[in-house]
Amino acid sequence: MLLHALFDLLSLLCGYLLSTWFRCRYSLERPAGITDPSQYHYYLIALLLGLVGGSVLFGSLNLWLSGQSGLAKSMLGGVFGAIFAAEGFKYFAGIRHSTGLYFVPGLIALIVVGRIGCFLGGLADFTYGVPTTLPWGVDFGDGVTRHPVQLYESATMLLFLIGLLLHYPRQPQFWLRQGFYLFVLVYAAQRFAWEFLKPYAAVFGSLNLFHILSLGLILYALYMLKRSTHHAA
Amino acid sequence: MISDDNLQTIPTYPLLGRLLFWLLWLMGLLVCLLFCLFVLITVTGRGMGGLLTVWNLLVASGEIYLLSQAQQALSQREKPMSELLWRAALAGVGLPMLAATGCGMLSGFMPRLAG
Repeated sequence: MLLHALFDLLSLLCGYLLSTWFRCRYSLERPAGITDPSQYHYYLIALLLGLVGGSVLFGSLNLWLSGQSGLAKSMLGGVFGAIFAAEGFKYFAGIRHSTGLYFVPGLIALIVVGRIGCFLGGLADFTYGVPTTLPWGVDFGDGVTRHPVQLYESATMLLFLIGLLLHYPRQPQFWLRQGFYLFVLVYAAQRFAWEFLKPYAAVFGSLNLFHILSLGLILYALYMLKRSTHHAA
Repeated sequence: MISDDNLQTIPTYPLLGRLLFWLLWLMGLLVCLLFCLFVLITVTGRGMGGLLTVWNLLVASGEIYLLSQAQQALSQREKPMSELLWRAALAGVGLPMLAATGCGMLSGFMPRLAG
């Protein structure tokens, strides 16, 4: 698991560097709509608490529902918690802008590199896919070839990141207004798909906890995209 | 002698803010002590040793740095409450989240990443 830890550190470093480069390159000093330094600090605190709370709550809940003990973290749960906290903060602070794009490049780098760590974590990480006979199935050490779902997620988000970096200079206003919601939509939609390839316990029909969280995020993203399009018109 | 102008520039921190600060700071201190314990366990060979000792040392050092910076900022009273709370939140919640990386340093002690 040390390899996983090292990749987590590497993912943080990549996220930080990419994020810093993106903000400097496009002069994004703070999230849009947040001008006061104090407000910015409280916004960050809300995000951090939401991220940690959501990550541990939903990660552990999924573990318990799947019949395992212990505590777990979940990136999807973290994104869900952070959005919940950020939207709550924005509501009470009276902020109407989309503030999330500021974090998106760093967050994607975190996912892209971090998921490679999950892949290398193997069976103990409990992030592998269901058994498959496809030629790219991976044996994590127990003789069963499984879907490397961690790499599916990593590749999908890498493509989105490339799209963002290529397209942002041409349509910065679009990305500032709707980029975060687009990110949430893509992230949640691909997670929804990959969850069918994971061995987690179903909680509603054939859907597991992360399916439901993903659906919630998809609905949120679609609603916000529609709202921001309407406001821009 | 302190002039009125100087008095106006020194922030006075609200009680609730200070309580929250110390709560987060103490959480950070607990994590720091826990990782110091992990260092002892891995150094004495009862854990997995080697690189894990380095990792645990890094986390403990990071906590000590963040906690001392936060405490210093509080005592100097130069920073707004929001920044102090942000620093304490990093020490009490942010770094522990990072420290509990992947599947943990010692099985059974640390959170695992799943999903």
